[in-house]
Amino acid sequence: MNFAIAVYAAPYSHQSPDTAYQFALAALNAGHSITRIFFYHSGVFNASGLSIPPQDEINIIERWAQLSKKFDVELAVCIAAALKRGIIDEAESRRYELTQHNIHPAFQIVGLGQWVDAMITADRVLVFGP
Amino acid sequence: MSTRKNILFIQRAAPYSSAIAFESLEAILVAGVFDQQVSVLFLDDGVYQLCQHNASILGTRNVSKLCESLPMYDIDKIYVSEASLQQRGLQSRFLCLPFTNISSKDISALISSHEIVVTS
Repeated sequence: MNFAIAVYAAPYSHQSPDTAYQFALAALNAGHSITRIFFYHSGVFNASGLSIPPQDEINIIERWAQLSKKFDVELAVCIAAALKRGIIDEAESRRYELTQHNIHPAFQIVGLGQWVDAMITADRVLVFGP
Repeated sequence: MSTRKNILFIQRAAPYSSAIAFESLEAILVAGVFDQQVSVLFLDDGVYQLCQHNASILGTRNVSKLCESLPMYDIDKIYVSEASLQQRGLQSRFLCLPFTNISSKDISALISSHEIVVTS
């Protein structure tokens, strides 16, 4: 089965990104596929390349990156939700004449249309809310 | 994107306590732009999203104005939970859009008649 997954909550603040990760991992290990994991609302903070958790906590961002690499799953971040919260890639940073950018390289910035596309092409849609 | 599916969005959050009401409405409009068959159910505190607001004092964008733009994106299947309105002492005339009243017992049939259900 092919899943579309959206994550609406920030890491280290809510349980839902952890639940989303555990679900994604279980589904992929069971042989299912995931069209795209879409980070929206405060979920865009899952893509911060500047997150440094204490040593006794899980690195949630790195964990997404490893999942993406191992199973070749796209990690997509909504551009509108990300930019207003200060999650930005190099291209957007240049466009707005900023000097920094901070998105983790495993994630890519896309439009909301990519979420609609994932929804309508998947067999099941799951939203892990705030 | 030639696939067309019928999608039910369930709006349950109060309009300004977090950004979720506004951002999920934006996702609903994009689904409309991509020519999907969209229905929206306003449930629980989500019914407040349809009350006319004066958001200018908050300095935020107006959630009820965004709701009012739904029909412009061909999204006209708007359902409002009758019980949610009653529990909050709200009357139909307070709301900014034409809608269909739906009873609690009919909500499960509404949900099961859609291929995709997205709640926020």
